[in-house]
Amino acid sequence: MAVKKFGVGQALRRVEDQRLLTGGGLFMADFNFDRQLHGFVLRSPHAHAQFSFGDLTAVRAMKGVRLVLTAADLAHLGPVPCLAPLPNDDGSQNLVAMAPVLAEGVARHVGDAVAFIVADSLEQARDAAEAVPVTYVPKKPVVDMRLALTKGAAAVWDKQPDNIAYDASMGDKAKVDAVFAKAAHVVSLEIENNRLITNYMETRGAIGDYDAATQSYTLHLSSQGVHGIRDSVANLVLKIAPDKLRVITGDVGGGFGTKTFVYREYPLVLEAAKILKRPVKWIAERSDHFVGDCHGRDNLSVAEVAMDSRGKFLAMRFDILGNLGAYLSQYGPYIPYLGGTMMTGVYKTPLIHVRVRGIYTNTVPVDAYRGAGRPEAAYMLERLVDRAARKLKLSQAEIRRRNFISPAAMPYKTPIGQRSYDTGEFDGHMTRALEAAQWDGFAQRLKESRKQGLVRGIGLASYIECTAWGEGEDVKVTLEKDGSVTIYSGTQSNGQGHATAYAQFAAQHLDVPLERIKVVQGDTAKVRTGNGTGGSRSIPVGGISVFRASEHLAGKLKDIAAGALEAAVSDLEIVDGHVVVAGTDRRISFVDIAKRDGVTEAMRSGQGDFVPPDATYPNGSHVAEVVIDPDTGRVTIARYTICDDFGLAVNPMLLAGQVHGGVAQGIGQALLERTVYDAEGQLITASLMDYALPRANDMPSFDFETRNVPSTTNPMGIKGAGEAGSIGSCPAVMNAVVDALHRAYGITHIDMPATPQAVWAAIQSAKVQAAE
Amino acid sequence: MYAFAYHRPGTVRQAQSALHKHEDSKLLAGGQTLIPTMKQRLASPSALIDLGHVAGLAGIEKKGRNIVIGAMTRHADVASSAVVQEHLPALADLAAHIGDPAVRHRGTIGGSLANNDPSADYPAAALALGATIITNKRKIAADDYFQGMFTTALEEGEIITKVSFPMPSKAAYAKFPNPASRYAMVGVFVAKKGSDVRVAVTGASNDGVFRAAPLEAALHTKFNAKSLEGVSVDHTSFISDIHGSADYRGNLVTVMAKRAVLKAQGK
Ligand SMILES: Cc1cc2nc3c(=O)[nH]c(=O)nc-3n(C[C@H](O)[C@H](O)[C@H](O)COP(=O)(O)OP(=O)(O)OC[C@H]3O[C@@H](n4cnc5c(N)ncnc54)[C@H](O)[C@@H]3O)c2cc1C
Repeated sequence: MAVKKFGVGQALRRVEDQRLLTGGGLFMADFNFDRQLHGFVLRSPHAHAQFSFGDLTAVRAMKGVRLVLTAADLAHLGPVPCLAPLPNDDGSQNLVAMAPVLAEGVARHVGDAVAFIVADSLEQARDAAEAVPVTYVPKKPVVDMRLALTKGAAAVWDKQPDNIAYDASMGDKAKVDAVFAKAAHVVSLEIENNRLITNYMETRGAIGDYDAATQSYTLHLSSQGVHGIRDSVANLVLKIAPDKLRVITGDVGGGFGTKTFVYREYPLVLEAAKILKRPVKWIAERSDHFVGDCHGRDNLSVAEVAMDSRGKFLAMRFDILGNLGAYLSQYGPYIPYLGGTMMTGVYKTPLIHVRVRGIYTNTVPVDAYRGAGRPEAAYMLERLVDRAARKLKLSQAEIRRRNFISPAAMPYKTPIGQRSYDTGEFDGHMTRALEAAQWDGFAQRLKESRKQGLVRGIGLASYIECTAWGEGEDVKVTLEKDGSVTIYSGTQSNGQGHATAYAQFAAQHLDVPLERIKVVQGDTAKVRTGNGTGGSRSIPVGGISVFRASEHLAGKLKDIAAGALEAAVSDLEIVDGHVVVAGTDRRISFVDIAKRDGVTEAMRSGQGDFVPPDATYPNGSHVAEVVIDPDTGRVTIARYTICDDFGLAVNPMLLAGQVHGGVAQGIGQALLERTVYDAEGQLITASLMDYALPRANDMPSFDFETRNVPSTTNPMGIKGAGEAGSIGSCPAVMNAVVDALHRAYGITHIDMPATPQAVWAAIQSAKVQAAE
Repeated sequence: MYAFAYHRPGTVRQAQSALHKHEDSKLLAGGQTLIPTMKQRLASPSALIDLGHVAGLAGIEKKGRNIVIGAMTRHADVASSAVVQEHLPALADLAAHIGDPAVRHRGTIGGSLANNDPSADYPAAALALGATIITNKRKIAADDYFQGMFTTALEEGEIITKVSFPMPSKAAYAKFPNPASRYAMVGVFVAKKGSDVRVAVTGASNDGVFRAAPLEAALHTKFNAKSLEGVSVDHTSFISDIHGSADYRGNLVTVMAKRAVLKAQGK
């Protein structure tokens, strides 16, 4: 690709930062409308309880109170939709339990929405919420997944007494079992993937408005894409035509997957606005976030590998329990299954069997969170591989090298999950990562740590993931009359910097500075279609559509210029916002083109609609080196090295930002973030006083590089990069922690998060065992 | 938050009479504990008496062999004070590690000592250094002041005006922060003054800050980290929560005490 000053490949600074860092952002709480009222959600304090309301007349008459909604008022609304229910292996379908907009007589998790109160002020709404007469009759809750599966366990849903939402599998079990029965070595690992609570900086929020004259609704909300939410809320919840609902999203302070979904508050503010004929605003408090937004991860799995005497993987078996919470969220059931489809990893294991069961519990619903299934898969697999290496006394690198799928085997059809890896040089990335991490110098560093009484370990993870599958993006790029360019896109930046990256795609063809290019997202009235931001698709799908639309526009501009300059199109080129007759000083500016008589908006607009034929498969290796203080159990990350394959770097600075952020999230999951429910289903970690988020000083300095191998499933060779950081990091860090603890104490397993107390306790019990 | 009245007295006397006049009223210092509690509707004072504009409550001075700090002095000001850094560096270091920058620029030493959170840092310094808590009514020795978690010797309507810290010959604070809140999971303040050694522990006990007698005795014999080898405190009444069992906190007390001693010795 030609090098353009503002084009693809340049490490340009984000055009949005000046505005965002100087207080110019417009986040959900910043939106306010005339005559606006305030909504408050009354939530269940019980994990499982039957409830009923007393007489609400007095509450409805309280000062400032405009409306009190309960399930009885919402019978005409559909439930919050689950778009991905999964059948059992035999084709049968278990209960698909979707959340009613407000709970109907039974609350099924702490935080379950039981009433919605609207008042002139938020404090009045809260006062009214406190006064609502609710009688709860607690029922036995189901909290722990393993207990949920035991005979005689209580049921979240009477209609599904075994608490199993689905029981599905992939692969040929009989063949796999036969290999296991005869294998020279079998290694197994029982492992947990801890539940996470997203904690975007900006909590969710929504404002509903209704225009009685046109019978149409407007929903302002903080989201990862407006079109999907419009379609679900209109078609499935409100049961109106989608063109009667306009959905608008402004700046978004973080999404990480969990802002993709429809939540109850969206139909609630719309319904209230319709009844009251006034805008109704609801903003989640941090405590609402903890119990009102979907959580992530939460798997319990058994992973097993069968090997020959040389450590060659002959077969693998995985049994995954995915906690889905009390209701099936939008994609909830699919996430652990998606993880299952990625269990091949980077290895040429010929036979694999995966069983995935989705489990109902009286906890907050679980759905996609940065990586959505792929981090769970990579974590379990890479931990298993390290354990296998230890058993066979092979180095971490050697066991991987013996089993990597080779570049010559590409495209590679995986034995399960029906995937086709287009490209991948796994050994190349691992080798480079080991070199960059100075793996060979570890022995010396270990010696130095030991002298200081510290425990040191090094860990490796070679991951692969899948991004940017499924639907396309239909993008329009328009040259405005003032010579600026507008990109209309149905993806939704929630912090990634689309305004910068998309402008670079456009500048590649239109050669204008980024400041002259505007990106319009987040309004169903301005952008015709869209599939939102998720699955790292905004660059490999959305970006390519922008690229194509800009190319289309460039061609049209040349057509117009050809007439004006009386030159052949083939002699024209675009330079610095002008169409120029190559090798001459004859030129026409974009402004003059746009203003020319007879030039319509359609003539100065380009379209691009890239639909990916298949996913892209980003991959790479992470190396983490940790130092553990044995007296306190505190783990510090001393060094962190990443060598990734993203196909093509559109903006190396934005790319590094995505990777750093993803790794930070992974380190948070590995060392800090622990979600604790007690046996009664109370969320113990329901605030930032108890839920430990990573902070800057928990992070090492990252050594990040790319070693790009272009993807073959899109014309620019890009592989999605938004989630990879959170995928490679958990196994790398935990393999390093286990390596350290194994060298020093013979410890072979510890679950995430490896908190100081967990590490210290593991060391204590290893010492006791050693003494016995 | 429930509605409340707001008063802004200019003197301690006015603050005192405002407190008397308004039933269920509360003093407001940095608001770092009180305001979040009110936002969560866990506290509902009828009125707040803001000490922020009371003359003479903030400031740091050296008076003979004491460092005297006004109740409304912010943590950040203690941390960056040249006087404290020179004469009581352990206290500057402690203040520099409270919460985050926003908290340090609002939170006050008076508020922290009045609140006596079992995981707060200042109580450990006050107890180990043998500070005197000075109120509008009297002077209270630290040994008499702390009376269990969130409980102090302060009476109804009593206002802390100053805290006086005697200067030790050696002192240091070692804190193991709670990974989530960054309050002290265990914090140990060690102070040596002549042959007297005092060790105060915060974060660990259900009874709030306390002096660790076995550690003091060991250090009295020889002020050396090695003296603490194998010495521990009884942890039966220690806090046990998701962040740390009583055992774990018990271990941390000795570990942090050793580190504090090394730090005090400049190692
Ligand atoms: C996110 C966060 C992190 C924190 N981390 C730490 C930490 O790591 N370590 C730590 O020690 N602390 C920590 N704190 C607490 C903080 O540092 C303050 O010390 C604490 O909030 C109390 O001080 P304040 O000035 O904010 O008091 P306020 O919140 O204003 O008042 C607290 C109580 O003291 C009373 N009071 C205030 N001043 C006086 C006075 N002069 N006389 C009598 N009564 C008075 C008030 O009436 C109220 O009951 C943290 C707080 C937050 C919000």
